[in-house]
Amino acid sequence: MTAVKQLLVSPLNILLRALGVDISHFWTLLGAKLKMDFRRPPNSFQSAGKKQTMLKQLFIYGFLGAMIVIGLYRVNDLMLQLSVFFAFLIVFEGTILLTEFTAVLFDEKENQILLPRPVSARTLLLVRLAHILVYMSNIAFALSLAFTIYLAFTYGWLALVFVIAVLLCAWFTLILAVGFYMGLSRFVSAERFKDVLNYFQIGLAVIIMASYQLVPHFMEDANVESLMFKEVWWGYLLPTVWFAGFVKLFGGMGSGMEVILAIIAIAAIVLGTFLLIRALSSGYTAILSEAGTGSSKKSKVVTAKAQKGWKNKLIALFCVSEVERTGWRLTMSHVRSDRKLKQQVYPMFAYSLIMALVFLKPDIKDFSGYLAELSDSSKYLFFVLTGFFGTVGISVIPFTDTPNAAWVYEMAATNKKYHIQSGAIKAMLFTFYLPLQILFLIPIIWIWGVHVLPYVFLGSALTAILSILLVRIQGNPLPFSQAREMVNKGEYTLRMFLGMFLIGLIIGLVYLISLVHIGVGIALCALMPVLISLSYRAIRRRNV
Amino acid sequence: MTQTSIRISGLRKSFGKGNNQKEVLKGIDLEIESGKIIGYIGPNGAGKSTTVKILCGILTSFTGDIEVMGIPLRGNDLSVKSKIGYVPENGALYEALTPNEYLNLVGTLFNMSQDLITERSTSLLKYFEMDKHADQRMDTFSKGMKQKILIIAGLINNPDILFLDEPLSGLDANSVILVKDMLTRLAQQGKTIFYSSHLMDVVEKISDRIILIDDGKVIADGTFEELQKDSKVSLEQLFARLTNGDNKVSETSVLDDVFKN
Repeated sequence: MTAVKQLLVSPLNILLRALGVDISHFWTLLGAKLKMDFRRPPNSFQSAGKKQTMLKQLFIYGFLGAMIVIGLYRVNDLMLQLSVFFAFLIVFEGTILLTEFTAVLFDEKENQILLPRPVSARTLLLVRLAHILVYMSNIAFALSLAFTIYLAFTYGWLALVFVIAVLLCAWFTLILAVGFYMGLSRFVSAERFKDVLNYFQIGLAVIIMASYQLVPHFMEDANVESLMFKEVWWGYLLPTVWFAGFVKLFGGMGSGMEVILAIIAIAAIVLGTFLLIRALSSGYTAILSEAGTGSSKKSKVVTAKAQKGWKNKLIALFCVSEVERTGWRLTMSHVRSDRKLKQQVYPMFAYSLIMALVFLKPDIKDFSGYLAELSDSSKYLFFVLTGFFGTVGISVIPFTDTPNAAWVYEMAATNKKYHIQSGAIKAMLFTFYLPLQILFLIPIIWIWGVHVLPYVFLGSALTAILSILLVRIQGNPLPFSQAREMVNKGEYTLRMFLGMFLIGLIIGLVYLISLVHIGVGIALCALMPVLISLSYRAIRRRNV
Repeated sequence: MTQTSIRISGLRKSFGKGNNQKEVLKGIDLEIESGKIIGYIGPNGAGKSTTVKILCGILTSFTGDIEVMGIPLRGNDLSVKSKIGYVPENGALYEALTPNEYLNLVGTLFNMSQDLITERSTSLLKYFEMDKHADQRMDTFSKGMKQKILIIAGLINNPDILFLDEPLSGLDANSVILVKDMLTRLAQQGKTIFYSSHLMDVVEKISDRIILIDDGKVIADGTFEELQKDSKVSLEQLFARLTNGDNKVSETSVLDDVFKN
């Protein structure tokens, strides 16, 4: 066993030495990090443990990979199949890297442990990259499992080369993303870096989501079976094509073009790694050391004028008690200052707009004909459906990085604790849901006219009621009282599905109401404020 | 002849840029001799922790020159770090590890042999009465227990200079006595102790020299007796006088109005 380990580690050590990394430090730190990852947190409700959660996630990724293979099976050209798969892999891994692993990369909690010790910047950066690579390669292998099996049956041992290429592709994605971060750090001060990164992540998450949803929609009419890979000069600029060439060449099916592509792939990885570790690692340590120490942001001073502003009048109008008002203000302060909360909530706003486009499938070629057809349909109800994304933020309010601060709930001498929760829900609905609904009114009135407004209002109000009642039914904890690590992703997805199912029922109900006399719709609309009010009361009256 | 262990000249440090820039250290000049306990004190936000973090290589961007054990810090941070120990203010530990695992990790980062790591960690764990917890995970430890591990980790490489930022935080009275005794012994062995704290009575008792900073500048520097200038006041009273704390005490009458209703 030791001999096998030695055989695997020795070539890596040569590479590590060439990169200027301290081998002993590298293996010690990586070993400690992996050991810590798989130790169950004490007193955690995650009884399944991290290992099982990860296995569950890998199973989902494996399933997703199988879905891709079904699509690729229709393509007859191997080069094109491989290029498309690597494009999927780079985009998918890039998304995961940006959304889940960036925090690991720039985590400053370790600063006081590692920075005072004689560990070089190169070692520090490479340890973190290797740590992330362990997880990214697991995901990459899960995503490519089905395709590997397909390749093994169709092309034999080429599948083995493919597996190596998948690992290299994961590493390439990692150094590409980190190289980009390092480049970004040249233009932004280390202290502001995390803020800039946060907005960048939000923007990119939205773009990726949009491309996932919209690109297949616009491509669905293409005749996939007849598509063949064509050698064009710009193909040599695409990393996905490099890796496809690498697989074909070392799989014994390569010619002149594949040789060049494989050389580019290897050169890009080697040069990228050397550039990143040897030249840019000092910038990385600078970001780490400065990021957690101070803020260049000016503290916002809440003036007496601001306290009397229109927002406060609104809060006073819609809240029934001072505790509820406090819940509203507390939530908005968190939304403004908590990067991770922003990352979870802001993209939902954009997803809602994207999903509306996906459902309505605009036909750009015959837009006026499309609009005429649309105005005769009941598709305005899709806006109600996608509007649900505007309420999703409510489910993440209980989570924070500083749950200890929730001691104040335990100490508060009040029987109105859950007024905090109702205030928080109101804040989220007013800030993220209501503006979205108002925005949606523009296309709705333009395409369908004002006569559908009662049904839109009815659907929107029922969605809001549903989001409030879901908090009550699911027994959500008080705002910002739970550690963020305690978000059980499986349960979160299940809740989303439950919500979407119930929204589907609401849409069906509103559609049925729209078939009867408009007076029924208007009468039901008049009932909505009462029902909304009763829903909030259900929250406020939870047992303390 | 005494040796200079730390030489700082014109040390400045700012956070932020442009209009948002805030200067935390405004030109610090110090020479610190080996074998001395230096009490580094100041009000909240004076720049104590920032100074310590710069000297330990945690903060890398600053202006001015620093030499540690005759080695310029800039460009030689790894050489400097191999000669120092650092005990941070808060429990910065890999808490999912056991003390033995953690100390082994820290020792390896100082390129120590396994035998030496085991020998030192066993002795130090015993000294701090933590030997029976050596194989328990630290996430179950109390604040004081974690603090002891931080101190041990700061000493594992037998440093020439030991930087301590509020090292007594969370320790019980017996442990405080233990640490004070340890610091005195280390200084007698020729090590420099750079001790940053708000506990004036401890600083007063153990320090050979006290440096008081306020608003990023050194405002007093000398032995306790030199700072007293025959006035026979405690360090706490001196501190209050030099940092305008006296005025703040008189302002506490405001509290009477606050709690009137």
